[in-house]
Amino acid sequence: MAAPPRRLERLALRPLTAADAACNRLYGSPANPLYQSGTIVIALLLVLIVTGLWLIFFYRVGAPYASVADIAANPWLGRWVRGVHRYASDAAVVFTVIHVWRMFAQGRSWGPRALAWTSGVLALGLLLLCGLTGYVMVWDTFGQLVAQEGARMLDTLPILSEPLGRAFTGEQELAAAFFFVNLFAHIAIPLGIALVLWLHVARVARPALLPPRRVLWALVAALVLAALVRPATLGLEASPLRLPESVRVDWLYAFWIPLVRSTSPGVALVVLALGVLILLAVPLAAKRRSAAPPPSVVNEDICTGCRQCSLDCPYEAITMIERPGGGRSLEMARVDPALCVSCGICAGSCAPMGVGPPGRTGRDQLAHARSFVSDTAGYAGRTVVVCCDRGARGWRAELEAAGAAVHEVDCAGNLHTSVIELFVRGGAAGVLVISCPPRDCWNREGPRWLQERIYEDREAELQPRVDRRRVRVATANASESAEALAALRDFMAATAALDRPQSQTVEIEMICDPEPAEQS
Amino acid sequence: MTHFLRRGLAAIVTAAAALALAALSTAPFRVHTDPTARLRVAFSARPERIERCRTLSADELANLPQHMRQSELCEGTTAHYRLEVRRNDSLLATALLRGGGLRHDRRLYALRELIVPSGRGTIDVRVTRLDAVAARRDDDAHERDEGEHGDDARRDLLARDQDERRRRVADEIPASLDLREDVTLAPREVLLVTYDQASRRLRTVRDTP
Repeated sequence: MAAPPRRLERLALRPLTAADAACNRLYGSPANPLYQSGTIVIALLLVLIVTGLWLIFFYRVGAPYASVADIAANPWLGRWVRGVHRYASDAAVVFTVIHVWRMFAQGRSWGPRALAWTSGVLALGLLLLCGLTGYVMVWDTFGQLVAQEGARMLDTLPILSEPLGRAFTGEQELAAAFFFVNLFAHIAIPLGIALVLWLHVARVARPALLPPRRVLWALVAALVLAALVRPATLGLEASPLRLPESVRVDWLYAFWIPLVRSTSPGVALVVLALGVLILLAVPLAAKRRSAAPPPSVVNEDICTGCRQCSLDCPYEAITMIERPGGGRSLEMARVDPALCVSCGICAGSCAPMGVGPPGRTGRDQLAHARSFVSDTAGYAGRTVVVCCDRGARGWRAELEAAGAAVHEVDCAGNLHTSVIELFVRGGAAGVLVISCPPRDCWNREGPRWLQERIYEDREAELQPRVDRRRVRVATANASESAEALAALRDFMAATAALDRPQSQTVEIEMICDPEPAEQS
Repeated sequence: MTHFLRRGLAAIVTAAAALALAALSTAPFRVHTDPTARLRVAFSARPERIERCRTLSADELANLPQHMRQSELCEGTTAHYRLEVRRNDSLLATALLRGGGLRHDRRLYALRELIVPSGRGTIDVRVTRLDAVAARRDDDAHERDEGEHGDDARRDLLARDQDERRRRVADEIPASLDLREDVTLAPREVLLVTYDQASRRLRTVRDTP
């Protein structure tokens, strides 16, 4: 089994799964925006680029406030494009935070995923910086507040001979060069974000970059609606010699300003720096040195060189290499332990059951399944529910109370179809596999591969001799006990209408067992 | 819940979330609620140099690369100044001003923002040099003599150095600056006291509505 989540992760997971469950009910799991947080951020960045390119044509560094006021005064296009630009930047922060939260709660930051985590934190920092430069561009009272408080904070660092804050005292009028540099930063930082995002997905196979089309259009429609109903505000023009009584503030970007004002710029800088350091240190803390699950291993005697594990691996940790000295195949799989996160997806995708983390290969799963069958009282005729221990943690007791025999696995995506065959041919009324919703799989693509192995003849497929009426796949997260129970009742009702299951002597074919050495 | 109802509810929730986001994006923040005003002292100026200068001999100059030839070699530091800010004759702030940079040979700057009651009051800002600056030159006469009797190249060099010194002195802050002014400040108004390089005096700047 993979290492269980730590206390802090469990605490973070509880509200997340509850929110996921609520959104699943409302939107359906394929369109659940919380599952699409990462892709939604990229979609929002594209919206920001498109609207930003339009806005840049009307922005003048020589008259920043006046040019933005002109844009905002245009009721047909300018006002709502600016609104969409602003609210898309806000939504990008919200969905980035959701994404970070999910990765933290699911413990998906250690090992090879540390690069994705670190680059994600960097991307969040760049996003905030880019947004702040955007507010300074407007040069209204909020932009001035951001610039002044930011300068006060940076001035606590002993790196400049003169404080940055002097630029905003009113001694001299702010030069157009300042706004030009700021504009340059506002345009250049997204290029940095794009580079960081490339790193972010560099170690992931088949990264999803955009959300489903209906989520994308719903997102754009929501932004346009917000921009039309509540246009982005423009404060009074900045003046260094006039203190505003009240400023309309974007809290998603200016969350640090009250800290600077209520403590001191130095304290605020230290607090923010500590926050960043803590975020960056999460992969180290999450590494779980003592309990780190071991990486997958390949049994070279069993490997047929079919490449399926290499194709299915979500982290590109498995490559095919030439088999030294020849043998049963030209190639064989090799796992790079530095890239493997021990997700076990390869165990489910290997037909001959020759690869997987120690103790979780197809053969190990079969051994556990055999003990489960023999240890479960009154096994024959009962419905077996196979579920992720992450989901089952929430509703195992309810499933058992409903009459099912619950077999927990590390991840439903790891499940080898031979286990399903063993259960069905062993006399179970049916096998209901409850996986996490596809976009919520802690191992990325597990439910997708499982579905395809059962229903679409993907390699390591469920054998045709298994009665498909007795097999079903459902999805539920840890907070969706009602959905899991409903799926179970529905399935039990469907299998009750079938003939009484026949218990067979089950000999799962070990199709690629190592051949015995030839007798000389 | 029917499919249609669920979709409708999803649309309403999405719209509400978008509007909540918009509200969060433009939430009012009370920045300066008290009716006080601000007295901001902000300026930058070149401090006077306290240095010992020595005229290089013709031989010493000849040993230097052409682009490094200066008629005199000066070593030293810059003067310290005391800034005092008073309102109605009570001391609000005092600070020691020094040239910037690790060697304190860059421009000095002052940046103080003081909370003062709005209304009428007398503002007094003083900048006073603390160090005694030595006489500019011990050997001006020698320099003049050199200028009158030296060769052409030497005369050019001296003239150039004198020009540069004059420019530098004109750029330096005077030994003493004083600004005393009766002002009436509105709530949340900022009165800026800054140094005017052209007139070499402190002056006040206010927002012109």
